[in-house]
Amino acid sequence: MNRRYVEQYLIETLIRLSAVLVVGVLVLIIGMTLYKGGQVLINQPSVAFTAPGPLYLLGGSGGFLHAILGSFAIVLPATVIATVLAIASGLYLQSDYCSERFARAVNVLLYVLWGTPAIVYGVFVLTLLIMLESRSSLIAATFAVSLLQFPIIARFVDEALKSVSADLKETVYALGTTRFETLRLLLRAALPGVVAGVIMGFARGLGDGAAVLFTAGGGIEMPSGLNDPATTLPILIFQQASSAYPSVREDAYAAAFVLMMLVLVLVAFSKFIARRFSRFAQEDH
Amino acid sequence: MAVTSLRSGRRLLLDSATKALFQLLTWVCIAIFVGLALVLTQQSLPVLAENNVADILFSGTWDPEAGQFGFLPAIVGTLITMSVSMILVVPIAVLASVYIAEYARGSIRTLLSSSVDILAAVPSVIFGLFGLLIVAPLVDEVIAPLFGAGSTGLGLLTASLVIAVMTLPIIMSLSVESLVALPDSLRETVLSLGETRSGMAIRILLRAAGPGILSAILLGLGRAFEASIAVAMVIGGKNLIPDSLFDAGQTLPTLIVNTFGEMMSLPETRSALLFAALVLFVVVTAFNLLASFARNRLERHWRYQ
Amino acid sequence: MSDTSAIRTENLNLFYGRDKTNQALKQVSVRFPANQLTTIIGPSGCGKSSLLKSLNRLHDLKLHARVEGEVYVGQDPIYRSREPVPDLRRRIGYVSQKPTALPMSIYRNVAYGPKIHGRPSRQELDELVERSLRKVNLWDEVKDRLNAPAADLSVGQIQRLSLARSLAVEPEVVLCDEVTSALDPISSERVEETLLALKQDYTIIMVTHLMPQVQRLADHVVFMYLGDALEQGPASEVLDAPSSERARDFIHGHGGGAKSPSGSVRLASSG
Ligand SMILES: Nc1ncnc2c1ncn2[C@@H]1O[C@H](COP(=O)(O)OP(=O)(O)OP(=O)(O)O)[C@@H](O)[C@H]1O
Ligand SMILES: [Mg+2]
Repeated sequence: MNRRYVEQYLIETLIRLSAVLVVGVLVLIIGMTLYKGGQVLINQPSVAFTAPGPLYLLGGSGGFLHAILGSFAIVLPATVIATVLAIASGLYLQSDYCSERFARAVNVLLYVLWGTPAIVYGVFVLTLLIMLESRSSLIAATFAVSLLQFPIIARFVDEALKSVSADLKETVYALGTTRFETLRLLLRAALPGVVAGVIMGFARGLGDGAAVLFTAGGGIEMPSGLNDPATTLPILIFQQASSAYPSVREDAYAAAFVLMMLVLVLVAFSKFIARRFSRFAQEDH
Repeated sequence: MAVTSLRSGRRLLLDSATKALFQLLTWVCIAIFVGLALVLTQQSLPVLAENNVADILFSGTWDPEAGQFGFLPAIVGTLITMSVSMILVVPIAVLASVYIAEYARGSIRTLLSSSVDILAAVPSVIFGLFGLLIVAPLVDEVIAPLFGAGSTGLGLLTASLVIAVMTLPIIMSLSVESLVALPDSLRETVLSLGETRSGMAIRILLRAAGPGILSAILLGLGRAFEASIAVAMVIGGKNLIPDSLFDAGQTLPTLIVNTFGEMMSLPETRSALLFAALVLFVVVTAFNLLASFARNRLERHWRYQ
Repeated sequence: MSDTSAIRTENLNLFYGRDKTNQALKQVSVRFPANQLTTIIGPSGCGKSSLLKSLNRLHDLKLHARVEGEVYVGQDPIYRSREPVPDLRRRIGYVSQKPTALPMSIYRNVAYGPKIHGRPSRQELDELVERSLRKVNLWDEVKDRLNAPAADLSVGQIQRLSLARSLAVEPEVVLCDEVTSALDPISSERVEETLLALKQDYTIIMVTHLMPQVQRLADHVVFMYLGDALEQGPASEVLDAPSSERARDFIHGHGGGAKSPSGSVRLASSG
């Protein structure tokens, strides 16, 4: 055989192995979560629906309903805040409201923020709390999460708006609309992309632990008020996983199961919307 | 006539009102993030006033009670985990991207690209659990004995493996994107010379997609820097300069995660940790800017047509 | 029966699209005589490039393309042959419609093919590169900057570089897709001269839009219309006495060539 075909065989084997490895890792991660978490949940489905007892993290009775509710109580409003800001700034930057130079500068800023570690946002908010002589609370965590989500959602909004063709914009302007009216139309055309982005932002918020670790409080109380501490699933898993009690460590997998399911459903939903959206966009090929 | 002008007056008013609103909100965002940079800087000043920057960055002693805040163990740990994880992940991510972009067809392709999307969305704590449940025993029972080293399973190598898995999806999705974007005429040209498909992928396509892949790797590196919670779960958390990959260690993000809670009440420690956050912020930002700069720059120099 | 044909196709069908319903070639059976220059002509979107690419199996790598029928190179049915496809493609050079520079220096663009097929010495390579570049009249323009990125060349230069690159692997057949489309009249004339000179050693199949070029160069002509090979034969016959009205209109410039590609897709798939 020609050396080229030997080389081809070797390279293709490596390429295939790498692909198999990637899928293998994913299967391991998902399989581990579903299997270990499933075991706990099947034996004791109530852990997902009951509030924790006073000694929950020390191996006591109860479940982690507080973290599930806490996650939603923190991340839902955060997503709303981040979305409003992202859409407003996205429209402002892509429209003819501001100069191109300003838009470019802000886009660099967004890009930097997009890559900023979540832990930095967490530390920043905690510092603000200390400066204000306040303490970790649901609202502080909401603020931290929305800081984290804003650049993510803004990026999706930006891409969705960009994908609406410039032609459309000009056509609409030619009808004599104002900037605001034009934007409304643009936003409607970009809506599927924006919605997909918001869902992804929501998923990232739910899954993140670093921004909320110091800002949410992380006790075992059910979320009660804006200024009271709350906890989220990632914080809980982090605490459980380092626990000395085996039963608590087992519960981490149950919480991970719930978290993974939530995130997977959200991602699937967002892909579904994006897919439909891209099929519309491709139709005129 | 009067009605129309009234209407158009209202429309224009609405137009300016929304402009003002959007402008305000945009500036609020900018202000918050400028505030972030300022607060981090201002809060790191106390520790910088007491200690020399070089002392902090290059001293190995972390002893808050004695007022010593050496970041060196964390910096060394960061550098080690970054390099090891990149050495592990880059070849695999790039080759698997080649598989998705150039070989996979039909439902296999869908399966693979969905795997990457899902992996990208897996919450970081779950990567941490994965590290505890699967990687740590693997390191403890298989890899460490192989090298005749002692290990608890928690340490730099385990952390590097977890980071590698976490950065896999971002490197892959961007690499696949840049490979897919290459024009078919390039492939046709190369194949017509009698090149094999694998030769084309390795010798031409990776090179032509080089700028995109390089920036994917830099972004992956940026992502690796920020991995905090998952790494904190598996690195062992020791502020000592490690002797081997199997030792427990610390990275800048885990230093913050592991010590912040306990040290919140000590202003000077807090200041030191905020300085760590600032360093992290600056480094990650530098990497991300470098990634986008590299991409633009190389694309201009490395054009294939 | 076809001893003088370097290549012939037999009932070649080509389908594009996710569901493979968009038929770009319909039962095409054409022959391309050896050591002659055949031009493929026809309105835009009629399947000229598609036909050319099916001659060295370039559709294999498309996600959504299916080929039916057979292409014979000599006596070899290439779609059923045991010969590895890369070896086949080496024998059949191809210059794409879109001028393409490989992401490397000018020198390495030309040397790339020879290097993957053998281990030529530095000196052999230097000679080969020079010879190939001279064949396409590019040598004088680039000899001082052989190590510059090929992408820095002008479009017309890249087009000639592409031709030189495919000549460097010494193919038997050269497929050229509108190689003079980006060239000024003088460069284009030079490339035409090159092609005429190459005819001695190679079989040349070129796609072109320019009727004068066909008249100047072609020994043999294939006329395509909406995926059909409506006419084929020696240039004198097809050009002087086309048998179909379509070909007559196209050759004499009445309303030919004005079909938009999308218009022909629709017609093609409904027909
Ligand atoms: N990759 C592809 N996917 C789907 N359809 C294609 C593809 N390539 C070509 N087609 C379609 O096949 C038909 C023939 O295309 P082809 O490129 O062969 O035309 P052509 O005769 O070379 O045109 P031109 O003179 O404009 O280059 C066209 O209708 C085109 O739209
Ligand atoms: Mg063509």
